[in-house]
Amino acid sequence: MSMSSKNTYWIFIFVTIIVGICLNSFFNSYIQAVFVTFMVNAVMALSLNFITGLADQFSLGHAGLMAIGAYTSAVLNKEFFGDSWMMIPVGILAAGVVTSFIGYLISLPSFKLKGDYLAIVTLGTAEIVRVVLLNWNYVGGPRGMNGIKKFPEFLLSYGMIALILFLTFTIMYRLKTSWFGRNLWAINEDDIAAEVMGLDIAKTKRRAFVISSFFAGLGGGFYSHHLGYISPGSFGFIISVQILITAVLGGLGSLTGSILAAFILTFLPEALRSVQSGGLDLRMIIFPIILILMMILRPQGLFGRLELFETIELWFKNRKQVQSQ
Amino acid sequence: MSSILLEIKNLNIQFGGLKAVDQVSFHINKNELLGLIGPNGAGKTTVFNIVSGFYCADSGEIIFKDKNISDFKAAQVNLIGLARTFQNIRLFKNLSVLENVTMALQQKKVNGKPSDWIHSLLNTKFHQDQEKQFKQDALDLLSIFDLQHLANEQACALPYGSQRKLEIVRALATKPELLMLDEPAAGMNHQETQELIELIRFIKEKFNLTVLLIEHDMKLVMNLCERIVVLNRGKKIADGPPATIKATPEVIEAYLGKKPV
Repeated sequence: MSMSSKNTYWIFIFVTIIVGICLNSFFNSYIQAVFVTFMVNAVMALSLNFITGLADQFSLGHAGLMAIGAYTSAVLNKEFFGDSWMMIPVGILAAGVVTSFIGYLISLPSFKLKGDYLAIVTLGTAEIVRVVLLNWNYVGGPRGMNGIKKFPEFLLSYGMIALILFLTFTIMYRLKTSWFGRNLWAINEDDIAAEVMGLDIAKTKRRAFVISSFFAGLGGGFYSHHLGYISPGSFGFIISVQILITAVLGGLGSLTGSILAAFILTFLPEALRSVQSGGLDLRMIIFPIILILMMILRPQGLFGRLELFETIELWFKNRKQVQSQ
Repeated sequence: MSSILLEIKNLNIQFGGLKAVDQVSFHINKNELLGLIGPNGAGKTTVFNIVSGFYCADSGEIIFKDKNISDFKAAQVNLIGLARTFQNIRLFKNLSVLENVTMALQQKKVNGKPSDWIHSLLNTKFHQDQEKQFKQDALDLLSIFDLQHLANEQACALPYGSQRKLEIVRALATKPELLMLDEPAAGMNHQETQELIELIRFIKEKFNLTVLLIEHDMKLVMNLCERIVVLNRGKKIADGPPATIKATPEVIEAYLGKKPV
């Protein structure tokens, strides 16, 4: 079962189309919206996983990057593209480019640090972004931006985010399994040894962060056109934490794990909405308990460092061995 | 006469009030096996760390192949042809043995040129062939040391002796001219030490290497090294072939103390 085979792509495209048609014809707009939110969360979790999972560089500022992407795309569409939905993809791409540039600027001083210090610096940067947006009247200040152009059809919106998710996953998977991924793993395992092997670790970490920022920008850019309304409050610290939780739950270093975790963490709170009895919101008790149990029983996340298909392969291999004994 | 590969001139470094390395000068000839010994705290590893780019010396020069590498960073030092191992093994523990070696040998071949990115993003034929080639090269190297059957094991699952060996293989994968081994026999039993002596002799011939060795195991050093430099309290106290070193009064004094008069 190799991911590089052409069949895998066709299967993916086929499944995406089927899911899209099903969502469009059998489900209401609420489920549709939740599904699209899931895919945005998946892109964000993948983006964080690339830097925190693969290279072990702890970032707590992904909401800041997402905000930069969201505001860039929204402002571009409103001011320069004449509120046309056809130009949304261009705006999203531009958001990715702008965010990766900002990401590069952030990475210049930050990646001399590591561990807790890096987490604090990225957290601080995200807060700076939020406070700047809060005080900038051009982008609405604390009121945020209203009436951002949306896609006229659900299927268009769905297709756009599916394409972004597909690109994010494919590019990250290819990088993970290539020379660059090996360098990131090496930094993750032992940065001193990696350096002694001749690797410029500061440069490698910066590159990983720029790539991560690009996809965070794409995710944020799409997000603004999905909701149609953004404000600095939408990108607070709690969002960074949620992205981190998703990546950790899926398994740091597992890309398919991030996608599955995003699915679980987006739909679970929605599914638990019905569990309410007489004003008592059990949702907020059950949800954290599930997370706590998960971390106790499987601290490495759903798949650890492996991908979904690798886990399945391993499972079959172990089963065969058990049977043959 | 063989030519000088690495020359260290008047090296000084001070940590707070402690002069860890004090005016140390020595050189290594091409294809030589030089031992660097001394009691605990003599400054051996500090010299290693300065040469390999982790510490910046307060003063002094390090000349490698007629090039001043005094202010090179660790990565640059490796790229110019010096590889090292660590006193406490530093493998990429959760990666496979193969990946450990592949990571090391790819450094001089892919370094993030635009074409490297394009090939790996588009997963081109070139990229696939390159990956196969890396894997094959790594396996070839591992099979020289009889580790190829462990290629897919996690590095931390290996027995201690093999981990030491793997660390040397990984250093060799960067194709160095000078290999610096920091206490390779630490924690090894008698038989493993014997095997290590054979191994070091073997790689020196096979890869046409120059070896600089820090070691506490006197038997290994006296057996193996062609020349020995002795440090004590940051100062060089002797420099010469093993037989001369054994007879030098300063060395005996540093290790055993002064003879009562």
